[in-house]
Amino acid sequence: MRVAAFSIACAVAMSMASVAQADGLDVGYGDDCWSTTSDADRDGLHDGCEQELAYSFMPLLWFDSGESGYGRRPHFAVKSKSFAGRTVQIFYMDTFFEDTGVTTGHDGDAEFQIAEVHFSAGRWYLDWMYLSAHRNSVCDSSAWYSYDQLEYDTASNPQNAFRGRATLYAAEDKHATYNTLGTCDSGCYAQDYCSRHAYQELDATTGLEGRNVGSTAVPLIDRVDLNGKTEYLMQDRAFKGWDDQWYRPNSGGYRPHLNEFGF
Amino acid sequence: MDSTNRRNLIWGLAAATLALLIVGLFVWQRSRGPEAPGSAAPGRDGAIVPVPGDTPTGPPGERPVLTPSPATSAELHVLLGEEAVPVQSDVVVEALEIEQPWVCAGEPVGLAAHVTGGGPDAVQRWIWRTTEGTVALQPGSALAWPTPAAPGVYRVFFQVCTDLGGRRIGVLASRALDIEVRACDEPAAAVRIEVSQRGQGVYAFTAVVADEGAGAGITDYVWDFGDGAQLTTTAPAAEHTYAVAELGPADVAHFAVTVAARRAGAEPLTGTTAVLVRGMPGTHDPGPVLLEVGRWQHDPARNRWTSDIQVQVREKGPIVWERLERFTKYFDDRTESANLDWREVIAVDESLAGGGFRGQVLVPDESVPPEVKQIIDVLHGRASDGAEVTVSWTPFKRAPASPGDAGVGQ
Repeated sequence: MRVAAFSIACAVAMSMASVAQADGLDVGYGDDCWSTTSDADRDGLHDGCEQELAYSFMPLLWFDSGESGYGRRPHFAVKSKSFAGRTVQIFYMDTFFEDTGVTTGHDGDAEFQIAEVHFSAGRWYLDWMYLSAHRNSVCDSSAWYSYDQLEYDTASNPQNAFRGRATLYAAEDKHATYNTLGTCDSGCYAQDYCSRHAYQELDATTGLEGRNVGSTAVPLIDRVDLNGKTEYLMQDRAFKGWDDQWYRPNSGGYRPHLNEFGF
Repeated sequence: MDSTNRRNLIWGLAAATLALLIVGLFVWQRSRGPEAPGSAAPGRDGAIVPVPGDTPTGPPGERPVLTPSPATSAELHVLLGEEAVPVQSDVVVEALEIEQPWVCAGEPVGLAAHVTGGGPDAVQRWIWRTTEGTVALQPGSALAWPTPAAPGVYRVFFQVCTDLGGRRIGVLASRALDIEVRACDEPAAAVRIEVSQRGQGVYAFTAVVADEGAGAGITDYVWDFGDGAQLTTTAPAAEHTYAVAELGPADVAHFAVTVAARRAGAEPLTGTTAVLVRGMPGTHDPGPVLLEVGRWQHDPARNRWTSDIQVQVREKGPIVWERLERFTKYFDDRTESANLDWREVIAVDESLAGGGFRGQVLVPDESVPPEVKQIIDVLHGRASDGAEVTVSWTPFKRAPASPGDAGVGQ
């Protein structure tokens, strides 16, 4: 690119130069995703499209060698942001069973991510991701990241692409998520620790099949039983990670986050 | 600032101003939304009706031939399979900004729109015809337009819309921009700025000079972060935090970041980039104290690691600090803890109001042999109402043991 003048427009181009390689994802749905047929949660989006989008943009997570709390049963919600912008948001509920951090241990760990994606000319593109990291705590390190501030693994997964499924870093035992190792390194007053030790899809078992919770207005899944324990994902109550040990506290639930982000 | 630096700075500012004037980067315009509700484009029968705002913005002179086929926003609406309805509104597209009147084929060009008016339901988007004949769409006020490989003149539309239900959209404002794409072999920018976001509103910037020879005489770097803040560094790196709290939960702000690498006796080398900053909902309660902790530094003369620390008491003061609990984590997953006299761990330089303080956290070398992964400190205190107050931080952390796990460093 030639010598640039001091303009925002030029700056946008330079900061997002990789857009020329952008190819997004083909999820099998286009803007026919906006449909009132097969729309169980009555949000104007086709259920099948919600499922495909959630699966296709489901993040990949790097865990540290010291991770002791991999267990989780992720769910998701999808909402339309606008048809005019062909934009939807996907709320990924990580539902880790526990936070085993040295100073923060608790049952249940309600970290989450929101992917904002749009459809254009046959493909879906990631625009933004919100990554929760101790949200609403004293060391809240959560943030929105534009697509050019995220990493994409296209080497091990040829189906993936720039502006497709993002690779994130989960803090050891505490599961705060970050866009890079460097961001994790400074997270929560540098207490968070990330590395590239183990690499997993957010939901490595079912690919989020059958995990659409709908919305707060029309919940499709609320009660989830597991190992003889019950959680209510859509209600404003603590999230115990299908556990409830007497010696440690429980996590706050997902409902306040869903409310705040309009799901 | 010595006279040389002052002269270079003045030259840099003058050059920047001149560039703005000559190239005509800003194309000011005012585009009101359609005035006549009901003059839909296209109509339900698919007829294409011109939409106000289709008159392109661009350099004056003879209107060039468009590549691919000429397109109006109405044609694009048809190709998008949507019914567009002009809607009267207070939305004004104040300006469409483009890098320069023409761009090199294959190089992305930055576009930015400046809009006033519109409510929370207003959707900003760019639409354009691709060389494959499809219509591309990008939401938002800024766009890195993927410049086609073939020279020509291409038309891009910026629109502010609203959903009307189904596949109907209301067009609150629309504006076209013609972009001339030329085949060229121009040099890259003198300075490329690498951006790394380190959290909400926190960005690290690194200036990379394309020509090592030209960069040999650089004396310092003058950064302008686009929000009124400036910084001069001797190293080609800077970090800046934007005031995210001022943004609404749905707001996205973009800032142009520029750097001028000043050289003794030569023109400064300049570069620019942008950051997008987005607000988020929720209210973050920082707690009764505000904590600031710097990155740990090794003090070889005294065989220890030190981190600058500042604790400011916001409420519930005075706080009486009682003890410091130090956790030592090892790579083999062991964790040890010890209760320490906090004044032996923290060298206080200055006492602040309400029990706050400023000083350094100390970690002796012998406390962090190679098998230690991380130290975590928890400072326990008691507020004036009797409630326990704790603050915690890491005063030392070692990079992962595996060489492939780079990224966390001491």
